[in-house]
Amino acid sequence: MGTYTVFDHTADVGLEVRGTSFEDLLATSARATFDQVLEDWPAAVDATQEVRVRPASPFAGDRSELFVEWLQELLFRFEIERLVPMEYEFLEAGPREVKADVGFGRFDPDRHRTRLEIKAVTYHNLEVREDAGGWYARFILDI
Amino acid sequence: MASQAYRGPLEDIGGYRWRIPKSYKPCMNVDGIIYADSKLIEQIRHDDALEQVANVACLPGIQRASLAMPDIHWGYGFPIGGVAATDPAEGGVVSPGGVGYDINCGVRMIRSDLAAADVQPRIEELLAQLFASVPCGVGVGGPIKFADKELRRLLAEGARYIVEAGHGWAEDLDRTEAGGGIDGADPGAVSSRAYDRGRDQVGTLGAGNHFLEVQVVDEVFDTGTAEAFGVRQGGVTFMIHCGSRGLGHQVCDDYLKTMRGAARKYGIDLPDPQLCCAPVHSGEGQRYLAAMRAAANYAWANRQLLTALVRGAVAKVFGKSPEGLGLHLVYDVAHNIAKMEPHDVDGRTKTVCVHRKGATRAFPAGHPEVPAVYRSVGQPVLIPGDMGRYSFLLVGRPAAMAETFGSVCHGAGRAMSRHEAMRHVRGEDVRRDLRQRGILALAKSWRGLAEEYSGAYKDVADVVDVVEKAGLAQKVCRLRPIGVIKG
Repeated sequence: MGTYTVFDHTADVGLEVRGTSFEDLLATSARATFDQVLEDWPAAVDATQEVRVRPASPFAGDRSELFVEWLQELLFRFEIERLVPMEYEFLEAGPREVKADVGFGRFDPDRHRTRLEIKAVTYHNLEVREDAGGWYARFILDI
Repeated sequence: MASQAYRGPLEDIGGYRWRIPKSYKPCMNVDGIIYADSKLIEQIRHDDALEQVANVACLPGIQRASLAMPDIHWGYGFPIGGVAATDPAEGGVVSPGGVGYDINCGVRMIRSDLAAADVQPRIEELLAQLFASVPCGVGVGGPIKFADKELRRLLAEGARYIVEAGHGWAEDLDRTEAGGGIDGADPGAVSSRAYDRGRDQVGTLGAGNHFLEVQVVDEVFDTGTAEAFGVRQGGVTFMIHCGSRGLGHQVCDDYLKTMRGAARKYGIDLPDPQLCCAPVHSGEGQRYLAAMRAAANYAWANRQLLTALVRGAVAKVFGKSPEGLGLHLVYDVAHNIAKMEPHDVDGRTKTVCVHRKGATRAFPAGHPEVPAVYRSVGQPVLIPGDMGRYSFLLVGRPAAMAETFGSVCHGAGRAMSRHEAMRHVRGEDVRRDLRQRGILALAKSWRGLAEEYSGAYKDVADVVDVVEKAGLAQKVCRLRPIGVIKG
């Protein structure tokens, strides 16, 4: 898996993520995001579901909207079904779609300590790009 | 791009007012006006907030000025603590970023006949009961799971739906901004994903900077108005801070996507794409307003059900009915909202779209929207501080109507990032420090508690002092926390 760092933002949480591939970027960004939500992760994968997302708007010229849709879908499944993404098998990874079989653990609010509640993945100063080092993303989570 | 200190023009125009002249950027239609003293303005300069004030001044149809309150800090496109009113008749726009993700995040205060001497000896028991009764924290659902048909009614009616279901008093609606429900909400404009997120979150506090506090009125500045509001020196109050939960967040996200396309469609040239917007009178603008109103109504329903839970918990501990304990609602205000309101602009009455993003309505005495029971004194204005210091109750003054579209600040405003806060303190240290200062805190997330410690926030007393000295609102009393619940 790739790496991530947290950067300062006055009210919310900023993340910079590096991955060796776009799939690695997606998986690491999911890890980074849920590390802000959870102090304790589920011990094991409990269920596998397909996650499939496309860019939100027809104007998307890069992968940034696809990236945001990916994270938003994972946060939605956490909120509605209490599922925590832990393992990924990507079947399609851009530029127009992400499709993956995701292994989810089950979140139990009575057992798993939490940290922050994420309202949304914002587009504020969002960067998703490929460079010499692989793939890079910088994004801010609204808390 | 990291936040950068402001280097543009900033003129001290006196009276705790600072101006960014509209000559600063070619696109600016009006000046930027910031309410601050010399100490706060130095803090405000250090992030992008002032640049964002200037950018907001570029919105089509913006009236009078792009306004900033003394608790301002940078946000997404719009600063937090900003007010912007646009005139639809002049092509004025509405923007989801001018409201924020947490639509109708707001504050509610409940007074009581209890005194500090009644509550302090039993604070641990009271707080434990509140913590058990009020759902809070990540992933915690509410006491009632609503079917879609019920949720649609709730989105249309707001707090009224909850009161008529037996969870509140009729007077609660009179003492809530907009009667706890804005007309013109359209449940059909809310996506199915938002319904999924909202289904079991009514009656939940959430997490982050949301809270339930037990407070003591520890200083009264205006005895007559305090009496009119039902509060007194040494009296115990309860303050709830939360919003529209996942449903509101989803509505904002859905319509940000719509508005990005709409800005292009209507040829609106913006200095920051996050100011994405559409003319108020456009289909996109009307649909967003209808959905935003539905989400705002959800938030009022949420705070109404939380009120019922608080009343039940307090009654259980003290062995009397909520009526017997005098647990009346003082008021409920929104601080993230857009509303169509009539205002006097350049000698004419115009119906404008007032965006308050981290700003609170503050109407003066005599205004028809102030509840009849308070109309002789003015609207209560609830300004929460950080959990380690105090909050304030103010009353609206006429200068706010004349200058800020009847708006004032919303709270303390953060001075330090969460990341930096964690470098300073740990959750257990914060809890111990609060206890030593007579404040009992119960939290689902200790790390989250650490990020909310007092040092991470401006002093709300400084913020409120500026609002008062600028004549926008007047202090009625100060409230000291003795118990805090956080998710």
